[in-house]
Amino acid sequence: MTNRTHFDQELESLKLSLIQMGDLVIKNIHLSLKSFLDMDSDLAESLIKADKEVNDSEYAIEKECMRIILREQPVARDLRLITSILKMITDLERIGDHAVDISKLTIFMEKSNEPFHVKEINHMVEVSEKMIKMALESFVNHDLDLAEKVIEKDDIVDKDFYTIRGLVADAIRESHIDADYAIYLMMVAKYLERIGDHAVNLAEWVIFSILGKHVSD
Amino acid sequence: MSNKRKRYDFIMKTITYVASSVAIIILFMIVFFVVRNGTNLLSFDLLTSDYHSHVYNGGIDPVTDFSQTSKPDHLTDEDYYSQKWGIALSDGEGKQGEERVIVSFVAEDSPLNHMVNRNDSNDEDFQIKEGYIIQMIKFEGRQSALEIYGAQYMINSLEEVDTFRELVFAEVGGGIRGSLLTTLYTIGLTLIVALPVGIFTAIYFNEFANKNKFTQFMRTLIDTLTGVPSIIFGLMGLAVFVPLTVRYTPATSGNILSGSLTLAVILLPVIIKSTEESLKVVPDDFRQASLALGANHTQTTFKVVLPSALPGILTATLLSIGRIIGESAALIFAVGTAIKDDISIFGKSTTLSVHIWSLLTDEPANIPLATTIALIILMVVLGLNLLVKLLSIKFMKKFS
Amino acid sequence: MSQDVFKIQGLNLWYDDFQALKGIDMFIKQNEVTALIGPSGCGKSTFLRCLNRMNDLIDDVKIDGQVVYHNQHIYQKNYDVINLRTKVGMVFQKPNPFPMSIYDNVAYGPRCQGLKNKEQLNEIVESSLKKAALWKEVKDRLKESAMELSGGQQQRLCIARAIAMEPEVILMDEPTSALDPIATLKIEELINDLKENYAIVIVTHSMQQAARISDKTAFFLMGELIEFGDTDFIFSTPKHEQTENYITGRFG
Repeated sequence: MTNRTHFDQELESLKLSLIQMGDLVIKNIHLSLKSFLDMDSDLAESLIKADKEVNDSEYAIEKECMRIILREQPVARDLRLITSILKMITDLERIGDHAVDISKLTIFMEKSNEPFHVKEINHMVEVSEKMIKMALESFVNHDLDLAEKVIEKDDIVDKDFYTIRGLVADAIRESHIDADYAIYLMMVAKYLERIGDHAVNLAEWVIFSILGKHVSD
Repeated sequence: MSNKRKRYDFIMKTITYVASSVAIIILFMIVFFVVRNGTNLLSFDLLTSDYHSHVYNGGIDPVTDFSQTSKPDHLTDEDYYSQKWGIALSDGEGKQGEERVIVSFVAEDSPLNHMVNRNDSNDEDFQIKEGYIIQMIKFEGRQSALEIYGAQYMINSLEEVDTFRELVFAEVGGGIRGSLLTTLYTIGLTLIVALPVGIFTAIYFNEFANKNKFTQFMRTLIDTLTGVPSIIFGLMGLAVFVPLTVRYTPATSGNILSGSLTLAVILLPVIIKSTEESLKVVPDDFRQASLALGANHTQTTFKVVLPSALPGILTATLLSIGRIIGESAALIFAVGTAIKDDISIFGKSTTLSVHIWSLLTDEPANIPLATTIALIILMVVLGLNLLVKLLSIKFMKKFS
Repeated sequence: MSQDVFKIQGLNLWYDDFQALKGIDMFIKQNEVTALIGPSGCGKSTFLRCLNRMNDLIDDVKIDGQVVYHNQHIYQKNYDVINLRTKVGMVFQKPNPFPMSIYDNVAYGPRCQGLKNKEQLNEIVESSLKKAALWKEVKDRLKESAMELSGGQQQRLCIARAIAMEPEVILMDEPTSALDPIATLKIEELINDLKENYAIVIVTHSMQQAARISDKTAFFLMGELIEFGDTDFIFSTPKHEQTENYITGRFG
C-alpha cells in the first residue's frame, strides 16, 4: 500500500478505458473492411453511427486526464503516462475516423461496380489490427521491445500498399478492373496505410512514457 | 449529581470561601489599621524635617526697630499676637500630650529675626520659624515665661519689655527626612553594586559558559543563597563590610556604604536568578538570526538578547527595591540603629524600616509615628507594584 | 557559464554517534536556485547549515570532508566564520525579526560590521526592503515595531535583513512552511527575482514548490544524496527509483 493508492486506482482505471477504446476501434476497422468487401451498405451505416461511441470515449478519457492533472499534480512517470494517454487517444480517434471513411466509400459504391479481389488488402487489415493490439499491450506491460516491434511492422503494411498499387495499376492498363472500383480500392488501401502510421504513433508514445524521450526515425 | 458528590462539592466550596475570607479580612485589617492610624501624623513637614529636636538659645542686642506689622488676617483668636515683636504664639500639644507654645507667625520685620546665637555650636539654621516651639524666655528683672504658662502669658510678657536675656526655642523634630534620605541612598548604592554584577554574572552563565558540572554547581549554590535568612548576611556585614569600610573610608563605624554592600550581597542571588530567567525566555531564534547575519557572540548578547530580556530585568529591579526598603534585620547590624539628621554615605543612619524598629524599641514605644512610616512604606511598595504591572503590559506588546 | 560558488566533497557529519550526512558530493552555482528535498530527517537542513557553519552552535557535532567556498575550505582552522556568514546569509523557517523597529532590523547587520553613517544606513535599508518587495508596504512606518507585521511581511523583512549584508548566497530553510498560500506565492516570486543577483539554496518539503522555483534539485534520503541534477530532468525522468518513488509521492 503506497501513499497514493487512490491515485494508483485512478491510473489503472484510466489505462483500462484506453484499452477499451482500442478494442472498439479495432472492431470498427474489421467491420468496415467487411462492409466494403461485402458491399454491405447497411453495415456501413451502422458503423458510421458506432463512431460516435469512439468520439465519446476520447472526450471521456481526455476529461479524466485533465482532472487527474488538476487534482494529483503528477510528476515523472505519472506525468509521462498521462501525457502519453492524451496523445494516444487522438491517434485512436483518427484511426476510428479512417474506419468511418472506409464505410462511407461502401455507401457510395453501387452494386454495379465489380469487385476486384486483392488478398493484400485483408493482409493489411490483419497486420494493422495486430499493430494496434501490440501497441496497447506494450503500453499496459511497459514492454519497450514490443513497442519497437510495432514500428518495424509498419514496413509490412507499407509494402502491402505498394503491392496493391502495382496490381491495380497493371489491372487498369490491361482493363481488368472496373474504373470506379479501382479508385475505391486504392482509397481503402490508403486509409489502411494511414491506420498503420497511426499505430506507429501509438507505439512511439508508449516508448515516450517509458523512456521519457522521443524516438523519431 | 449524587448526594456524596453534592456533599463533597459543598464542603470544598465552603472551605475555599472561608479560607479566602479569612485571608482577605486579615489583610484588610492590617491595611486598615495602618491607614487609619498612620494618616494622623502624615504631613509634608514630616517628610522634610529633622528627627531630633534642636534647641537654640537666642539672645538679643538692644532693639532699635520694632515690628510694625499688624496681626495678619489668617490668624485666629487662638493666636496671640505681639505687634511690637511681630510674632504670634499659640498653645499646642506635644507627642506625649505635654503643653507646648508654638510659633504660628513671624513677621518679616520682626526683630526676632536678628537674634544672636548664645550657643557655642555653629548652628547653621539659627532662625526662629513658624512651627517651632518656645520653651522659655528669660527676662531682666522679671520672672521667666515658661511654656507651661501658655502662649498668652508669653505674649503679654513680651509686650511689656523692650529686651530679654535669652529666648530658648526649638525645632520639634520627629521628622523622617534623615531616614528617607538614607533609604534613597541605600537603594541607589545597593543597585549600583548589585545590578551590574548580577546582570553580567547571569549573562556569563546563560550565554557564555559551557554547560558542565561546574556551572551546575554554581547554579545550585546561588539557589541556596536565596533562601538564607537575611540576618546571617547582617552578621557578615558586621564582620566584614564594617571593618572594611572603616579601614578604607572616612567611616568610623557601621555606615550606609557597609549597609548597601550587605544588601547587595543579599540581592545578588535574586538578581542573578531573575536575570537568568529573563535571558532564558528570549527565544533562541533571535540568537540564531543574529549569528547568521555575521554578528559575533558578544554583539548578539548585548544588542539583541539583553534588550529583549530588559522587561524581566526591570521587573526584578523594581522588586529588589521593594526588598531593600523592607530589609531591616541585616541593616541593624551592618549599619547601626542611630537615627540621624545629617546624612553621609560614610556615616551612621537608619533606613525607614530600621527607623520603625528603633521607635518601637524606645521607652515608650512611639507607635503613632511608626504606623505613619509603615503607611509611607506601604504606599511606596504599592506604587512600585503598579509600576511593575504597567511596564509588563507595555513590554508584552513588543514581543507579541 | 555560471561559476561554482560552493563545492562540497565527501561531506560527513555526526551528531554524537549518529551519522546525519554520508559522503555528500555537490555544487552550488551562481544565479541559480538549488532546492534540497527529501523526507523528514533525511539531512537536508543539516546540510544547509553546514554551508554557513551554523552547525557549530550545536554541541557534539563532528564534521569530515570538504566544503569549499570560493577556493577556501571553510572548515579549516582559523577560518573567519563571522565573515563567511556575512557572505552566506540565512532565512529561517519561522520568521524571526528582532523585537526592534523595522529600520533597526534591517540595519542590524551593517551596524554590527561597524557602519554608522546615517545616510549610508538609510540607503541600505531602503534598497534592501525594495529588493525584498516590502518597501512600499512599510516605507511610512520604518520606526514601528517589526512584531506588528503579518507573517508573510515578517518573512520578507527577514529576507531584507539578510540582503542588507549584501551576501553572495542566501540559504533558506523551509521559508514558506509557516505562511499562508498567498504569502508563499509572493515569496516564491521574490526568490525568482532574487536569483538574478544571488545564489539561493532552499530546503523545501513541497515538491511542487521545488518544481516551481528551482533550477537544480538535490534529493536526500537518510543522510545520503541520492540524486542531484537539473530540476526539469529530476521531475520528468529521474534516474533513481528512490527519487521517482519520493517525488511521485509513492513513499516518504
